[in-house]
Amino acid sequence: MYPAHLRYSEEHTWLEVDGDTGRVGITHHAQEALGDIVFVELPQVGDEVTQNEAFGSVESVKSVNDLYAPASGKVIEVNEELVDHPETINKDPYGDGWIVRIQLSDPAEVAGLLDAAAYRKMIAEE
Amino acid sequence: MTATWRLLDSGSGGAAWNMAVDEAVLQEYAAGEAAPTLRFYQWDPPALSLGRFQDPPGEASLDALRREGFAWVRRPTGGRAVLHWRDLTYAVVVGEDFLRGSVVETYRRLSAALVAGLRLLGVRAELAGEKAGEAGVDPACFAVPSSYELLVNGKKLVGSAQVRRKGAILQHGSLLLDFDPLLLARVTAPPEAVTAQAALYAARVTSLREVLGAVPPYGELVRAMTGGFAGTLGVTFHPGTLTAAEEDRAAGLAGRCTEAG
Repeated sequence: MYPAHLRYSEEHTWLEVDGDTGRVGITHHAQEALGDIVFVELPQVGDEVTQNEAFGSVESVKSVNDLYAPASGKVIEVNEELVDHPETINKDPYGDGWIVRIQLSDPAEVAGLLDAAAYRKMIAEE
Repeated sequence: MTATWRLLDSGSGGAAWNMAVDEAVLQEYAAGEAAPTLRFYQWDPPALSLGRFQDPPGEASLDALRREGFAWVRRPTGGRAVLHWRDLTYAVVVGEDFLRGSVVETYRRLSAALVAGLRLLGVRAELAGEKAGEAGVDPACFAVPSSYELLVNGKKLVGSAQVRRKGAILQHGSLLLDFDPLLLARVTAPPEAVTAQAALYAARVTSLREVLGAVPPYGELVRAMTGGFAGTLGVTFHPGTLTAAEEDRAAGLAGRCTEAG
């Protein structure tokens, strides 16, 4: 449910660090709480995102929810598959349901994110 | 301790202003500057509100809206088109810490409050099942009941939508006081589909007039629905007004809002 190689934010996004870039998506817990996702609003390649600030949004069950960046940086890739198949996030939140890849501007931010155990503990206490 | 919420009775307003106020209250609440709020309002002139990510109205819809003298506006919330013609719109702004759980769970709790309010008006409404609706392509919200929306005799009476931002929830929805299926079809469907759509809406949508035989006066509606929220959520309401900061925000937002009329 919460892969050990990912880092997690308190806003229910995950970051998969690969050198100085990172892939971003939402967690299993988040997709479950949202329900069936019917639309994803994506940023554009080149957009700057800031840790804990909104970079896009998803709509499920007539509810629009902001997506908050787990780390700051520049968007270098967006998952265009989500435009036609937003439900991929529900089916595979850590794989094909990834949302953006960012060029990390401050690697130190990553150290402040939660590991899988800490994230699991946080959602258990919610 | 019982939570205290603000009750805002806004009366009638224009489309851009109505949406701007909901957004302003949400923003102020998310910034920690506003109390949890229950708001009621109506639309003058009537207007079509569209979900945040819906396509803008097509030419035929725009023509129909213009002919009727109606406006249109984009909501900050999800979902599909709602015609605010003779309706009572409610809006709730509250924190996720008060209204816990998944999106569907929050709909269920607020729908229970709406059911209780309607019961005070003598209406027995039930909730659509969790797996109801959402699929399909009909542009009008009332064509399809979503999870935990309100039905009377299987027909939809209230349609609601949400937005969540930084731990704050805005849910607003439309309680139909009266309903004209042909009017809804004219402003949402292409001309060749109007007749068929109107028949579909007539079969799927109801109104207080249809259920009760008459529309209760505005003051009675607001009192009953407020009572439903108070009893179900265990909160006390104090009548209030917008803060100066909310007024400012709303004025700025209304200026930027998409509105045609």
